[in-house]
Amino acid sequence: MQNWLVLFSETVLLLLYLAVAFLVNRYRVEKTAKTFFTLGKYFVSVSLLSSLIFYDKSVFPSVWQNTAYTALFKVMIYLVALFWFYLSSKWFLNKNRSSYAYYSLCIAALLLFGILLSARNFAVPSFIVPGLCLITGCLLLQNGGSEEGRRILRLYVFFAVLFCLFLWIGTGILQYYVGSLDYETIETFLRKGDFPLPPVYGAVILILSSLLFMMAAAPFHLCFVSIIRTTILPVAGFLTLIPPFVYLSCLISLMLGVFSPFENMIRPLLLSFAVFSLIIGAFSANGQKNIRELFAFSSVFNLGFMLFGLISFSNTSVIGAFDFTLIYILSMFGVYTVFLGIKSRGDYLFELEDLSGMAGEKPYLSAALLIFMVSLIGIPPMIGFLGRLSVINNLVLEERWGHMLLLVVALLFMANAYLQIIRVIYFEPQKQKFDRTGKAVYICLFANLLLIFISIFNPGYLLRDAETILNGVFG
Amino acid sequence: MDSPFALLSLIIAMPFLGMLFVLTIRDDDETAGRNAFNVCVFTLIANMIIIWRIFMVLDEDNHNLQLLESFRWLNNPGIDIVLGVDPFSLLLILGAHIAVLIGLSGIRGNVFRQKSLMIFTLLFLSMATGFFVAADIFSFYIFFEAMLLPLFMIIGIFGEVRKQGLISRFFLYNFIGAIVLFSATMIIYHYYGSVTLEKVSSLPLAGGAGFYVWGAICLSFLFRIPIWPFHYWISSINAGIRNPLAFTITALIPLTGLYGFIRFLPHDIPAFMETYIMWGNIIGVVTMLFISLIGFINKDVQYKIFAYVTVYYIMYLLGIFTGDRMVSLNIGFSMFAFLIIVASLEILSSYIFHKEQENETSSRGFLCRARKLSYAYSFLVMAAVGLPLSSMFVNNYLILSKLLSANIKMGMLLIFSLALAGAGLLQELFRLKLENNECRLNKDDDISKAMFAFMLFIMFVLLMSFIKPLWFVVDE
Repeated sequence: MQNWLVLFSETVLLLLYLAVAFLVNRYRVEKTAKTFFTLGKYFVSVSLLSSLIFYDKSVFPSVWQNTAYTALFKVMIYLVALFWFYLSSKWFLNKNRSSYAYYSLCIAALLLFGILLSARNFAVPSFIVPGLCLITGCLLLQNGGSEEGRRILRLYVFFAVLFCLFLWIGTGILQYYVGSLDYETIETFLRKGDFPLPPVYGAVILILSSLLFMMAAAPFHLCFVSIIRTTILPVAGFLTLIPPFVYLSCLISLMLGVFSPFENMIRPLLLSFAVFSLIIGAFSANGQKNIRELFAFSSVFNLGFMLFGLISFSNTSVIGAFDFTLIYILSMFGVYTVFLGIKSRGDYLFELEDLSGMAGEKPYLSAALLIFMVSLIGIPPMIGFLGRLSVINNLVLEERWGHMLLLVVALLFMANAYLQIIRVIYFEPQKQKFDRTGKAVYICLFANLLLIFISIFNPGYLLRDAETILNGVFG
Repeated sequence: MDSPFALLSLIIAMPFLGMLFVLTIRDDDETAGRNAFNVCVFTLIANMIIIWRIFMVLDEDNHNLQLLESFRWLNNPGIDIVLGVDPFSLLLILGAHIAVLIGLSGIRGNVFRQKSLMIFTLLFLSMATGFFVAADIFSFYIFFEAMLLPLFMIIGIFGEVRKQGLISRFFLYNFIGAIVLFSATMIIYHYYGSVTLEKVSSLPLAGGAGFYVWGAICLSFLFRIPIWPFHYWISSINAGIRNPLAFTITALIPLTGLYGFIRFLPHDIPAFMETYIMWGNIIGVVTMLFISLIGFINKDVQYKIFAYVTVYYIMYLLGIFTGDRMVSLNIGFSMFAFLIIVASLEILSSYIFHKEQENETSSRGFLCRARKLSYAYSFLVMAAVGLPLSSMFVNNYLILSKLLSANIKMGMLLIFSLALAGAGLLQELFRLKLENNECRLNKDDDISKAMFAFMLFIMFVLLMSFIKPLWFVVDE
């Protein structure tokens, strides 16, 4: 009996939420855009609590194992999702649109993310990753079916199918040679070295490339950037804020628990992706006139930055990458919260020139955006500095001076892109009137900024427990 | 000596708290601006009183960092924030506070985004104070870079820089400098852990690491000083700023570079650095010559003040390069008066410029009709060119004598540049004093009594600094 209770987190999310939401959508007459958020927040909260209670209990430990490490990432994604769902409900209220599909899809995605985090067998990602691609595709349908939207959907479907095929082929090859998809069995097999290298190495690369596609690492970033630019704001926020934690965790699990014998061979591959992401992210962000697109490239840049620090997969590098990702998500959450507050005549503004002189009429929103961008650049004493410090400290420890130089140059270009926004907001004359910003946006911004300010004075408040758990991964 | 009541943290926190207070002010633009201004002035005065108190508990004869405060900031990597102060750095903090207070007096009546200006000014002051009291490499770096944002915002919003690209380049130039210092800090940390500033200069960094670390440190500080080829950003920005407070704050930036050199430069300069310092001297003197010449030829008073500021900063830099501890102390005493003089000159020049604009007339001969303004302006120009009216007189004399004894040719060129920069200011004074019947400005356009009283107080401070640089310190 106890074992099945362990599944409470997932069953509550999937079976109960989806079922209840379906019933509410079908039979309840007076439902508003907020109805499904209200419903969702209880289910996600309960799920969050149960994943904490059963953090080290598993039903099928060989396939799906919960640990303190997985619980850490689950807590992160549930918390971020809860706050983002709250803000998304304001978007749906403003647009007076049904939020049923959005919340159902997002919670289904959360469920799959949760399972993926605990996966101990390649059979799990082989099913989960296509499921996530399907959900992303469905989320893309939310933007009303414009011609551009359809074009991007087609593009996404093409690449999603391609990389799912890669994943399946890679998994199939491993099954063929190893005879099992269990992580530990595969690691033991790879450690022995008694196998033909090209096909097995190829399989590893195929699996990792599908993971890097899901992470939106350059040069696989095109779909991600297009999606963020065109899709509705709640979907863009969800896809920016939640997946980085999940895929970071998967990458760490795979590299430490499965592919560690291939570490030296994989490192150049990851390094090349990191370099691509860093350069493409920083350079492309500079030419953008749409701030959502600019921040999408910023995400690509930050992914590259994180990968740079991570590729040695040592104790300090993993902690550094986690700290960096946590701080990045905190800042990006703030940026997306500000996006929800920038409206004119009911429309959300995303073109850079529309934000001209915003600081005059929206001083608090502008100041918040300024703080988040400064944090993303990593200027002290903002919390982003800690992220930059964590990654660069690791490079220094490993005496990777060339990499450090590359990071710094890319950082300068990225800083220039953020300066472009600051200039428009603060130094240019105002061109249009802005709508009143809702209290929800200010509440979330206040909470976010409070967390940032507390972390400036005492970074351990935010990072200490997470670092302790991550240290546990290394024994 | 340990700090009583965490005084050093308090002088960093005070402007920051003032900034948070200003942030909460909500009213119409004019009232909010006035309230913000009052909060800013109050914060500055309160902080100056605390600084004054710190002078009392400081041992003037001890040139090591005193009143040390330390706390653990980050566990992974282990970073401690260490604060400490000596008479030299405290004098610079006080000088910066007085300069900003003078700058504030020049913008009292402004209504354009006054609240924003106060917020960024207080933030800048908090970070600048942190920079001068930082006692270890990480604290130093953190405050060194943290000053950038408020500075960028002040210049961007209030600098009236027409080409927006210039502002970005200004930020990027400084950001590069900060990043270079960050890399040097990380390398020092990697080899020696979190070391205090006093130990940095004696670190046994040799070979490639030493070459890179010292090169990076020097480069990062040079980025803040308008010396060729790093002069571009500051000359293109500074010379155009019409807001006296923004100008004063921007003029403080080279000070951070100089202070960095004083704190980091090894007492026994490594052999490979001597060549660089020689080149630094040559480039410094050439830059001084060119800028003073341009300042002399240029008709814009703003450029003349900028040229004056640049020439003096480079002279201080060359003084620091001598590596003499006494010269460093002379520089501290001289800079205290220098900062006050520059800020005062700037607000008076800005006042004259605005009167010119308001009345659509030339200001030539204005000082013949505005007696109060004439007294103040003449006094400041005389003090600026080196007459015995402030601590600049004796201390500059000592710095120059040291430089002359080190290299007579360089010293002569340096004196020529200083004379040219001073002549530029005298030229402007002469223009303002020359009788001109076409000038429509009259005694009604003179500065107010309150302003004159404030100027008298400034003159008193300068005169007292001539008699004894630390005249305001009462020994316990």
